[in-house]
Amino acid sequence: MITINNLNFGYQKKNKLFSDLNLSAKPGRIYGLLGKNGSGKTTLLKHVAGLLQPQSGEILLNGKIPQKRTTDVLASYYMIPEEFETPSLNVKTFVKINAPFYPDFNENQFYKYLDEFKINTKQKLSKMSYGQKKKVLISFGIATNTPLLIADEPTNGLDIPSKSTFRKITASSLDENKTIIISTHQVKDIEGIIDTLIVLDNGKIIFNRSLEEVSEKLCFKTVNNPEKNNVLYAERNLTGYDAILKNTEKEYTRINLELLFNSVIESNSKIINEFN
Amino acid sequence: MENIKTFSFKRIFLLMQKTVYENAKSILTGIITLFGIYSFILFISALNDGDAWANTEVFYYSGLIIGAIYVAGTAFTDFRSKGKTFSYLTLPASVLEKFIAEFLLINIGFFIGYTIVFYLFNTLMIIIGNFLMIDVHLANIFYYKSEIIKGIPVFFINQAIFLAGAATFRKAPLFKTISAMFIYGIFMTIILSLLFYSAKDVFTALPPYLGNHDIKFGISGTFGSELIPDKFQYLFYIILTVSFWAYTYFKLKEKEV
Repeated sequence: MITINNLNFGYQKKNKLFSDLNLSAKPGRIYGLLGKNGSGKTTLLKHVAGLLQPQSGEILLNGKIPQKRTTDVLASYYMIPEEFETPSLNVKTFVKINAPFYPDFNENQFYKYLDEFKINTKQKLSKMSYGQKKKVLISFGIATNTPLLIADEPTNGLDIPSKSTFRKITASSLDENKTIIISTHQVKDIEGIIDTLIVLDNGKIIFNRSLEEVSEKLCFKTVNNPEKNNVLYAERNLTGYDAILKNTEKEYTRINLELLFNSVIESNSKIINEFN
Repeated sequence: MENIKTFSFKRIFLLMQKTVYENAKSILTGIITLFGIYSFILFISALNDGDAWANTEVFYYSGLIIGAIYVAGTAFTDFRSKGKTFSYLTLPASVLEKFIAEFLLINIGFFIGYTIVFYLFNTLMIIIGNFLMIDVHLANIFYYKSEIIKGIPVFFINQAIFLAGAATFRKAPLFKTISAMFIYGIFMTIILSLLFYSAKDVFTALPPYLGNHDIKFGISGTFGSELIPDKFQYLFYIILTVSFWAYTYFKLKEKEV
């Protein structure tokens, strides 16, 4: 579905953000793109959506170059941007003028999601709060039923119940033909819905593994002594240490995404080596 | 997903509909402003024996030209903010369809809309004028037939330039385009004057509005059309207009967020 080969890009010619970046994403999966602020997540997503021109390298969506912005490519994805502006229209008019551009848009699905988010459809978008507008965009984006859904920091501005609704409707919208990429720096918000973790740091993909693989190789436990028990990485908590251990016993524990993210970001070669 | 056509008239219509809906407030403000200006002129006219409204056609054409420049110069409203640019560029329609939709709106759409609004107002003015004993007649837009024919290329060149400006400048495109035209006009006047007149004339000459008619500041002189023989002037206008349209199209194509 998405193929990125040797992507090179920098906002200034001499200062490169991406150097020979490679990535591929398959249908039927939800990818979590994690990284610190300024790590290049949004820039990478803009490249995927054809909104930025790479200095060199190749980006393909189903074999087509998104930078050409042909109608079929544009209709094959929907991007929920972090920064957006909505027109001064009510929800019904918004749908009336935007939905016809997406051939698989499902109006019932859209209103069902809005209902789940508890959005008043009679209200004008310009009178809504940032979080409410975001819920409308998320609902619209998922209801477009495009083969690719790109969400850039979708949970920013959402209240706690809405974050849970977001996870629920995103997970339910996935099918074998759909790819979903969620970029965030709030790791906890995507826990339980992603099946592949991509970590971007300083313009480099330093980790790209499915959670099945992670579960197979690592286990997540609370330990008293981080120096023992095959501990690869540990962080102190109130009762002991949250730790990542080698999964020698083949036990399947709940993945602590935040811990895994921190361990990868801190260049913990022990973790990365487990996958090589 | 069904097979998507690379070019569709239906999508062009949808794009135009979307632009009208999203800019309904600005359009309404424009109509109210127009009504306000004409009402003010009618009021002034009532105080001055009704002279100002004697020639309704002049009002029609002044409003048409000023309005057309304003509409073209502020087109592509989605490029004024990053958030809107995002949704505009990712909207599933080709660059050509987006360009045609904007082109039709600012040229044909504006012309039809403006003419309808003007005639509505004109009719209202006739009714009010009868009460105020002011002579207001229904505008005959073909009254200056020969002048209109001469003015058509100028109208399209202006529209093309301002549309290009709107696609280029993110902030204050109308002001920036006028400034760019002004600077270019001065530059061309100096160059042409140096070519066809002596350097002394350039520095001692007064601009036409101060009485010197040797150095031309008009549209015809501004883009160097003085160098073109009269019979090729229209060809020159066409090439210039098409060049600005092409520029706008490619500007849209390479737009980034």
